Amino acid sequence: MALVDLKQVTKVYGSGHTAVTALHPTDFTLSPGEFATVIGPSGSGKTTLLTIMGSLQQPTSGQVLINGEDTTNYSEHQRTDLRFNTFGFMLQGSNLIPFLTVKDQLALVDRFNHHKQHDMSMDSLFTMLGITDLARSYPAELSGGERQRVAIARALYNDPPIILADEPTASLDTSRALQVTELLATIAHKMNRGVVMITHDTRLLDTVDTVYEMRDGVLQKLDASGVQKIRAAAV
Amino acid sequence: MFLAIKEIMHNKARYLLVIVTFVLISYLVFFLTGLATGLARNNRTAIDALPGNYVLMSKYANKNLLSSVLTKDQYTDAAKKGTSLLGQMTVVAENPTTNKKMNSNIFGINLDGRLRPKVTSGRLPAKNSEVLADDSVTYYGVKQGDRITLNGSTQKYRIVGLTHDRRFATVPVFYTSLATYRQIKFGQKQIANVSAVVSPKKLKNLPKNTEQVTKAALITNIPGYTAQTMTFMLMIGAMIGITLLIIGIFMYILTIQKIGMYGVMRAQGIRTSAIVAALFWQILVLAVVGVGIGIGLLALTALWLPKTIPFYSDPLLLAIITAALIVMSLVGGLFSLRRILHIDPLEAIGGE
Repeated sequence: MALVDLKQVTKVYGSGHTAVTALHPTDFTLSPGEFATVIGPSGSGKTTLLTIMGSLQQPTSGQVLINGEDTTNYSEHQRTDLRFNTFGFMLQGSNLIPFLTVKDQLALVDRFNHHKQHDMSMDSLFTMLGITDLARSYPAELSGGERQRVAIARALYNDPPIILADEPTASLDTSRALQVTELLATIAHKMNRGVVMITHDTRLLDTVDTVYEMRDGVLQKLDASGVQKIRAAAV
Repeated sequence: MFLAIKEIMHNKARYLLVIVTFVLISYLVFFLTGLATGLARNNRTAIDALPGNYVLMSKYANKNLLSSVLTKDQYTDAAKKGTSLLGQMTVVAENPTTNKKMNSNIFGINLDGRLRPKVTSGRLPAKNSEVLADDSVTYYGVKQGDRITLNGSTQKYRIVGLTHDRRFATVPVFYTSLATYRQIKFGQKQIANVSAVVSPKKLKNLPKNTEQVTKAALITNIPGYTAQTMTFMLMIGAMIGITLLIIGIFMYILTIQKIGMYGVMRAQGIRTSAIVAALFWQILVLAVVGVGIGIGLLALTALWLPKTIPFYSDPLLLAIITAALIVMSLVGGLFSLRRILHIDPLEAIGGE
């Protein structure tokens, strides 16, 4: 069963003369163990797609199935719980809480999730991500790359089946960006999670399973030659 | 609580400002309350101690004990079993050796009767030249055993005993026999007038040109009493109201600064209720710490204050005001509540 299954999903902002179609009818599926990426220029609607996938907003029309369940008409409360239990978010910039240490960022998850046994303990997550020494640091004391690795730890800690990353490499240099992308690939392939990464950086596609291109609200799946083409265009 | 405490500990300087605000406001309110209570008590403790809730006095006196004079004809019927005669007079007492003067009152009473105050030191007067004094006279430079003159009398009166918490119209009371009172007030013992008759029961038939008032009415009609207490109450009430505004606005500004972060938390699936709880826990912690320090400062102040300053901390009243300050600051949190309830997790997502 697909983790995410979008059926003819659209998003229109505003109405009447001022209506702007951010997303034309779109189908999208994500399977466990799949690392998908959506590339496209800013303003193309890729973040809109991600927010609908992640239950951050509702589509104007179409159906959103998460783990086979239709969540299109979920209440705000249901969507909050769905986000907490099903999605690990890595948002643009920092999605860390400034006044919590790295350790407490994760401990906060436990505060709202009392009984859950974690697949990976906090320590083993930190070891995997190479951030054990940062456990007592505050976000402001971390470099951009470190912050994104902490964000990955935070996103993974609640064992979500789906990781959604919005431009996770935006503020990183190439080698750091590649490291983060490889980590996301590892998470998809080794831990059997579904990962969706939004990026406009075409250098990062080596470890990606599925590449989509978004242009003016239209999503298109690229085959190998299509991927070659956009990579060539970027160079 | 977790989020609330962690944030306070991480942003110490910012939250220290909030705590300092709480300390200053609560200290001011507590201090004003202490003064108000002290002043009110100094006006009334001698009246509070009267053995009966009803006081018969002259009708013309406008419920002001200072102006009331009852003649023997007026009080004879009322002066039955269980009632007590009271003669009040405002006097200046002087210590003839130091020439120190103090404003004070004479309460002329039947020293064997129900109005007799509890002696805390020494004994009751046995002669007409002896008086019992409220122990606050010691703040004004006289002590038990000293001799004083009253209203410049040639007669000297010896303070043979002390009692406690017997002040009227903010100054200490000297208890004397009715005879001594009449001698000083009317120049001779034979004039049998008194100021009032204290009775535990309401009289059915009032003598001519008299009225019977309750102790409470007698107190509110002490000249200046109501004006003083109202002024203090207005200030204290205003300060408690201001607490709501200051803390409410403070927390609102801090909340607005954190809207982005709250958006991230909402995106991560943290419920609004957790964010609201963090806000109110934070206010509660800041208020309790701030008001606690305020109480500490008040206790230090009370140690240091001269005894002549009418300051009295009533634990019950302080508890009520503490509760009011904390409740008001929590109510101030409601300003921020609306913003938090309207946080859109989409605010966490930049870009498109």
